[in-house]
Amino acid sequence: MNKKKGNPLSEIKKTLEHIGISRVIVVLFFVFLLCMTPAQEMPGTISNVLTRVGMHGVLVLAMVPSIRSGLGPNFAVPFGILAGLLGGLISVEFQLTGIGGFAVAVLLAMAFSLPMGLLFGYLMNRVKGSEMMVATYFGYALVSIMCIGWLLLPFTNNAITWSMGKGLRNTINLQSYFGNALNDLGAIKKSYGAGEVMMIPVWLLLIWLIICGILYWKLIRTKQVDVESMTEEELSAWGSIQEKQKKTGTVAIALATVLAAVLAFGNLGFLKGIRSALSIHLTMKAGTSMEIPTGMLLFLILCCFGMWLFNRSKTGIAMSAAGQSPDCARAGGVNIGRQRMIGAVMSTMLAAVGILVYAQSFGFLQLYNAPINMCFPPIAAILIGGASIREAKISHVLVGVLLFQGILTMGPTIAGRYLSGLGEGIDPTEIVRIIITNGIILYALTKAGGVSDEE
Amino acid sequence: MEEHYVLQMKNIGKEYSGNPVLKGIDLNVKPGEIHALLGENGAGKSTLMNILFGMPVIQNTGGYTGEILVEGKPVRILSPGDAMDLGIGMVHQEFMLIPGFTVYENLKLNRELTKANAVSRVIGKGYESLDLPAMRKDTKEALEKVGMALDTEETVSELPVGHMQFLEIAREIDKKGVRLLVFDEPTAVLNETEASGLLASMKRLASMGIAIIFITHRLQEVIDVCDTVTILRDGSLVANHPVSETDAAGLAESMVGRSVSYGDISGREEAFDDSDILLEFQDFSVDMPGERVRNLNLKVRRGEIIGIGGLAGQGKLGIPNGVMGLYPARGTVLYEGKPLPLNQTKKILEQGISFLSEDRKKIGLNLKESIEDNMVFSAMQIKGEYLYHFRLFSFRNNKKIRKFAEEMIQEFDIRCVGPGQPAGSLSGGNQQKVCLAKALALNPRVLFVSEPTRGIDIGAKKLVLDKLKELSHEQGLTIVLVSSELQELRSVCDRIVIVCGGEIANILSPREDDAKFGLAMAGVKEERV
Amino acid sequence: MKNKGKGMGAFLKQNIAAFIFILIALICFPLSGMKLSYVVQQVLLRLGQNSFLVLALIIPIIAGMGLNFSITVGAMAAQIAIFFVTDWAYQTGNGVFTGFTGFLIALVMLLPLSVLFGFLAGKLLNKTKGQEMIAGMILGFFATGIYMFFFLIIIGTVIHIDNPFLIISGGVGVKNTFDITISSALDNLFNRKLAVAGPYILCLFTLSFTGKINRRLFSGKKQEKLLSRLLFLLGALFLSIFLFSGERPADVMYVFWYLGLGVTLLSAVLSFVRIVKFKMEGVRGREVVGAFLCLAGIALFQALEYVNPGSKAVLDEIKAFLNVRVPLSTYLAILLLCLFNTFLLKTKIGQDLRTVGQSMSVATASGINVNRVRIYAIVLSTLFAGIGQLIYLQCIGSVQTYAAHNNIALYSVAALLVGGASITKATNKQALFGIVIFHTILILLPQAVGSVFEDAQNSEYFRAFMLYSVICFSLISYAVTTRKKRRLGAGEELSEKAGVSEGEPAREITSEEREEL
Repeated sequence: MNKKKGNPLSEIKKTLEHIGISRVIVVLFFVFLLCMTPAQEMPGTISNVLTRVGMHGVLVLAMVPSIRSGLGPNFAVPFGILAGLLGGLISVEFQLTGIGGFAVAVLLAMAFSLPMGLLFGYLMNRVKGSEMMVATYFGYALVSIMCIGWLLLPFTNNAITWSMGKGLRNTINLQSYFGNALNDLGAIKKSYGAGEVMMIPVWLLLIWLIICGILYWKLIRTKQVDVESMTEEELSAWGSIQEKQKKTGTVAIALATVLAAVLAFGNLGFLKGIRSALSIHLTMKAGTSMEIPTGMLLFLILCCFGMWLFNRSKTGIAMSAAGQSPDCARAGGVNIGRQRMIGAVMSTMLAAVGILVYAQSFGFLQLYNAPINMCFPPIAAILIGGASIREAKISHVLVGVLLFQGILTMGPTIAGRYLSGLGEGIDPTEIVRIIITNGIILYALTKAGGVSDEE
Repeated sequence: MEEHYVLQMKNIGKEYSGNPVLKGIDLNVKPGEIHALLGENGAGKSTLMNILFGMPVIQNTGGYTGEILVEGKPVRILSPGDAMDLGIGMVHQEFMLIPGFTVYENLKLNRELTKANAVSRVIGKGYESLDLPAMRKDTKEALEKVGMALDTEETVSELPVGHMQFLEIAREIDKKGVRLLVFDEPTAVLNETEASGLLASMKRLASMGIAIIFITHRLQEVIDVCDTVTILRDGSLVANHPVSETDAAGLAESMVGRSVSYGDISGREEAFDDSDILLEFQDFSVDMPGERVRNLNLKVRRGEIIGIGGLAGQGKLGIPNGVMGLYPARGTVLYEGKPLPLNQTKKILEQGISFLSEDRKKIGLNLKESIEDNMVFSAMQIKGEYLYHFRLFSFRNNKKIRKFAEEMIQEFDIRCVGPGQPAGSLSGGNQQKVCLAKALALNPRVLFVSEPTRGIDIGAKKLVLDKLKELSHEQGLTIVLVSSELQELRSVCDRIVIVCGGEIANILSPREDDAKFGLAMAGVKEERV
Repeated sequence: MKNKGKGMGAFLKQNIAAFIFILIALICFPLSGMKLSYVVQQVLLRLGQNSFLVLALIIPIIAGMGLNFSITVGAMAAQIAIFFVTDWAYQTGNGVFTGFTGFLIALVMLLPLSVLFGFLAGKLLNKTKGQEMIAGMILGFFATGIYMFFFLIIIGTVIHIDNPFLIISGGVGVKNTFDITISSALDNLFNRKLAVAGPYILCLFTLSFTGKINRRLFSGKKQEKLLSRLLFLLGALFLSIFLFSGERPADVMYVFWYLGLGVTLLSAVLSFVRIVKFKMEGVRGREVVGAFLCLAGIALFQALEYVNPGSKAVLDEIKAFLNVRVPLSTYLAILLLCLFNTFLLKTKIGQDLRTVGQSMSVATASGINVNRVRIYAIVLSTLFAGIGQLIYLQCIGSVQTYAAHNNIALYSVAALLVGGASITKATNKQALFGIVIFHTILILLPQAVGSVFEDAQNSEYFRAFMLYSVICFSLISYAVTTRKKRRLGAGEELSEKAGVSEGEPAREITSEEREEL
């Protein structure tokens, strides 16, 4: 505890340290890209980012149970993906279409992933201490076994198998099956004609953010005080003040939010003027359109909500205790191995479901070696969102996937625009992706410290 | 005429962030003498030795006060290297040996003898070849000095534990100009034959003129081999005299004894008898490393506070940890006349037995979680309380949790910014209060409390002890209180069990003489009262 | 050391992995229907290509850092060096930058680069103690990103290189592949056909084995050391004179060849005498077996030279076999690295490496600067990997700028593990043996699988499966044994003893092994 009151500067510095330098860089890069995105392309960019958030969200969510149960990020996501692919293939084999086909695929995938998750959990319990490395190569090995499996599986649907020769196709077109089943569910599409003006209330958003930030910093945030040396009366007085401030702050933020919402969407007389003043006006080119994959986003939110509920359940609490402080959990009568098993199973299941969500939006099921490197982007995303290899929350998933996929989506457009001198076929975003993905994982590894003999 | 001393430490003092841990310690060691250094855990022995060896932890926390003289010359020891240069060596408690290496490789660890070769002449000294024959020769000589004939080629992993200890000693002897050796509990892991061999070897070294500082908890060994004894307690020097002037009981008394004013003792000796037994240990053994319990038999009466004391390493901590299934236990424990399912923590907790661990940072609390979550964790997992129940799942009941936490914060005066504060950011005393609240949230019928006051401030100490007393006196809770502070046990408990060597040495009333406690701790058995 | 006498059973158990892979190779060979001469040629070639890279993994293993997946950064250093040498060669047209001199220049450039990269990698791995392998792997990927950034964007924007052979037509970025000017520089420096090189190498091995056996004969004599080595030196001298006398030596030179052969036979006869005289005591079985096999090999080569089978196909096959080129200069480099590894372990630094590998806490307590030793191990490993990649690329002849380094770590690690090494123990022999057997399988597998499944595409999957499962399996067995050890360590009073003897059979780097290396 600090004896003197920390000045705001040092507190901000502390907060920055807490967030982590690599994350700050990523956020700044995201903001930079956002500012660089040409206004006309905004609607397209927004719909692209949202689509990719929805596509990758569930895969990122798969990291949460494995991290919380103490297994670390699930490097064996490719293993879970195999279950998802199998489920999807069977659904296609029976010519199921639309949302029903997707549902059957998900159910089958979950059924397959249950025993697989148990196997994975059993393995992870045997190799405590080197989970990440073993999981990586376990995933690789199983994917390569399954490559042989894909050649032998007795599917008959022509969409799945090669018309000549043995084995399944590399990519299976889902267009006439459950492709886009979730995306199209209640999708919001909006097209703009040439010259049509779109207003995005950016300044309003900015003002709202700043006000909320100040309110949080001044009122809601728990301040550092020296509670040890206070007398009882001081402490209770301080406590009630704190309580009151928190209440005021929350109410103020709520008010500000309502006000901002009214200003942003209100279409009434004088409000329109304010709204227009606080917005950026975009004049659209012909054929610009925006599409929001409502169904997929809802599905992601549903999954997140389910995970959130689970984290608040008795088992969820036991699981996170087992991950954070195994000795303490054991003393509380929690069976650590079982909790890790649950974490592994849930993570495998989410990976299986995640790949189906991904595939229906992407339009293809990709077999053979395609799953092999699917584990790194979700890990990077959740770490960017603020998770460490020992701690993860739902908010980390959402923030992380938005930042990471945002950068990956906006990057190519901007690179194509400003870095025209580059040779053909060179995509600087690919480089950025590699650096960010692996940089953030490395950063998280150094922060974790690992188990060293020296302690 | 002034006597000749190898080492004189004068008026040594040391503080850790304002807390004095050593106050005015004097330690004088003559050449060829075996000097016992006694004290309970936390008495300051290891800090004193850290100062002697110039360990970085001392320098990093502001150094020490006082003066150290080696061979009469004042010295400033700033690093382990300095200590080595002055001829001070240490035989560690845990073996600093590499199992995969041979005897001679271990003996010459990082002091390998080398000879130049073509490469080393060009690139540097690091590439000099090992001079294996010379290393083997030195090894043989050093081993002979400690009276041990070992095959220098043997791999250490194939040696018996006793021999490893000798190897450690031989390594220190082999260092150039060794004049003072510190033995840190060398006999703790040895059986009796091995231990006596070691003591003989220590005498032999002493006769060669090497001074020895001997840290141990086995008082009989002190009587057997030592010349002088220095006893520390709570960072102060309490005794320094020739061993011949005292006996084991006297030593034990000086180590733990405090003048207890009899008015503070609240023991209710007469209130209980063996007619109503709540918990009975039969041939109870626990495999807890360093705190082994061997065939313990004990009856705990309903409603009493029974204290378990004894020196460190004698098994007192093994009892609660064994009952709770944190370390493998054997034997029978009857609870309400029925045997407890040993080694199954969950089932034991379900029976209404609760535990306040001595390791609050690792076992007692989940430091990353909030105060409130910590408090209700066990109750939630074991009894399903503080939850909303639905068919398949039960979810946390924030309201109930918050209410309970606030009550507890109020009741125990836990200094925090709110129930949501992470437990890790609390001070030790407040953490202990959270632990107590956590144990009580289970509404236990028996409460095992292990070292409840270790490392916490006086205010919190009093509060915790008073609370324990209140729970037993007013609510009839049965409490098993394990503590290394005899004073604490005597002020709270109704009966005190002293364990020694994993067995019960004696069961005493808190009003008994200091001397009796001393005897029991030294392992002198007598007829049960 | 006591276990030594336990004989075949223990030997089989220890080398079970190796036997399985030999078996796989033996099954694949007839299935693939490949010619033996082709397989031998490929294996000898790849032995030269890959040995350095695999041997580079040994030192970090000894330092307890596991499989060094970050050798990728060393490979990148080599590619950077080669790129610039190639560029200068095109720019200046100077012959210095081609051939062996070019190779040396690349080597000199490589040194500071790889030491720097290795230092940085070591720093990072010190921050991730206990997770070195995953960190090393991710570091490899991360470095790939930086490397791509350098070659795709920096070159052309910051560093302007005007070279149509190397740079993409737009002027920014390096082409996907480019031919190098130092192709086969090392391999061509000195090579001989198998008919000459084979017996040469076998003779040297025979001399070495029998020399060890014969030592007993000279024990107690004044010049013991010299006497026991005399035959080896003499034989090596004669044979080398013959070898260096050109591709088609003058007839006179054959005198040296027969002299060398004679010395070899003499040494073998002496060994026979020694075994009769002193019985088997003090003789290692493998030395006798080794010497015997080598002699048989020499005899076989001699026989092949003069054999005259009826069918033309067989004769062609024999001729092709004897004419396989053996890149002796590359082998010499590999031999030097093996010798360096062996030498290093017998020095003070080597002892520090082993100590740190066994227990970081004990090493710290005895005053060893653990972090520095670990960085040293990684720097050496990176440096050797860099040289290894240089050798690899000069053999291939062209550089795939963005892909050449990608699978280096994977293949090297797998080869080492196939040779019977584990995450805590590896020797030169295991590395070399691993390369031979692993690459034999890699060569045979496509055809073998193709002939069984009638689809060559599958072989790719089989190969990946073999790679990954070998690594996965040894990772699991490592994790399980260390965990068992930790648990025993916590539960047992005599933890030191029990934990070591039961829980950790994997880690037995003793002085015995040092001799093996």
